[in-house]
Amino acid sequence: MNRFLILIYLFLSFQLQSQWLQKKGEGSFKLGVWSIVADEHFTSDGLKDPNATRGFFNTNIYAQYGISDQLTLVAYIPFFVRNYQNRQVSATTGEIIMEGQSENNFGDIDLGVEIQLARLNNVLLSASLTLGIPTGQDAGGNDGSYQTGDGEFNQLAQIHAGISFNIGQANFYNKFSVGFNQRSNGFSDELQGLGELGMSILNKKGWLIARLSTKQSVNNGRLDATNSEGSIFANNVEYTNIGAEGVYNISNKWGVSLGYSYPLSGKIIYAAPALSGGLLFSM
Amino acid sequence: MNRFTVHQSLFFVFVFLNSCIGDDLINDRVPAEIRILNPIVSIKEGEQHQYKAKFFNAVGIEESSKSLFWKSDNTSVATISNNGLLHARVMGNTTITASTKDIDGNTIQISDELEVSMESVMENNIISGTLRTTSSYTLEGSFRMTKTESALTLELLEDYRADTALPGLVVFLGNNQNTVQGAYRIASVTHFDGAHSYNLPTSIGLKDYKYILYWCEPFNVSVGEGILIP
Repeated sequence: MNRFLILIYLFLSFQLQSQWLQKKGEGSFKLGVWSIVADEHFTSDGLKDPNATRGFFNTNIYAQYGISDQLTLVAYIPFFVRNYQNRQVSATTGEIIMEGQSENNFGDIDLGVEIQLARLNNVLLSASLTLGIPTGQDAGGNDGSYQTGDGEFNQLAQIHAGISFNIGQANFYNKFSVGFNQRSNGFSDELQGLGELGMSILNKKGWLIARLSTKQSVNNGRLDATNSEGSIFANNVEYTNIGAEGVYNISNKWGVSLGYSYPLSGKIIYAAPALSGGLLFSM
Repeated sequence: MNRFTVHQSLFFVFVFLNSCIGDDLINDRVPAEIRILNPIVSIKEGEQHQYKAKFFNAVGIEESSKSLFWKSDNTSVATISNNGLLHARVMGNTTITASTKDIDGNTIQISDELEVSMESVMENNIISGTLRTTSSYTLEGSFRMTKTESALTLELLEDYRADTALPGLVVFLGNNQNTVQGAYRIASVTHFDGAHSYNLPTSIGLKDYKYILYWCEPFNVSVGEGILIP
């Protein structure tokens, strides 16, 4: 019930300030962190059940670089991923029932490319392909559930449409993405969707971004508790997430961001808000 | 320290403050109890029966050092020694009671009604019941636990069904529905549909545990249970 959270954030972080492609020779980079602490989760039927409090912590670098005005390279490198569980303590005796546990490791890297399909005035149509490289640990801790990766190679193909416009003094953009994530090793494929609305704030020194995202399993995988060890944590995950992010540009090159997202509904996913923060650099 | 370094430092403080292991308090209090492990329905006049009993504290853990006080309501029918040895004297009925004090000084006791008669009859060596889910995951079906001199077997019957989406499902025998501390771990669940069985050590008695516990082990949460001793 952990690995999928990486995917959630990956989906969100890819969108950050990426409503348009990078220009040739330009790039943007983000040193990001996100965290979730959850004591309940959505079950396979979409209901909420309790669990021992688990935390998932991810520190990553996200980079975009323009090879040309029409082609942008994208990389997501979660270089420090921490998966932990609280100590279980008897409220009656004060004794420790179960020691807390944690695993720190590298996460799964994503490498991608986004290409411009069409541009008409303030409307941009693009497509992207993202490859998920299984560089994380797919079985961590004493029971295998402290994963930092899912051990599978996946390919996410997406179509993006974005539009920018002004209302009064404020700049706005609107972006929609749909995608299909083909997964390997018995995992179910996934359909993904995103709607994003951004508005300039603070005299155009920052952005306020609202997001609605969803992931739905095609349920064509074969992994379940009868034939796998820890891998089912990341299979048939579904969610509909709402979130917001604020970005403030300290200078022309540097900026900071803070984000919040919450799963409105889901399956096999933590039912808790995720918090994120980042340092942004543009070149 | 320039502005960037300050921001960078705050960023990493945020990182590490949010990744510390804390404590979850588990509400694991259950009523303390004495359990007679080998109750009898009747005993033949003139025979003896050595009662075995265990005390389980407020979290369902056995306290073997606890002294029990034994008493017979009708000493003309049967007497019982301080260590639980029953002497059936004449035909009739009596109630045997074992008692002790819990950590708060409350009296905990259990009684066994028996008849001194022409023959000795032990309680049934089979316990049957039904699993029920304690979560949103599917867990259902009938079970039967059978004790013989050479084996203790837990059978899940044909109507058994468990959710295959649940990771790390493990079956235990326990005395506390809220924790598997002190519980006997039978096995990781590998059967999710239909009849199957577990052979248990003969050192385990039929009344040593109160519940069959289905537990999501990685996330330390109850999934379902079957009641062995009401």
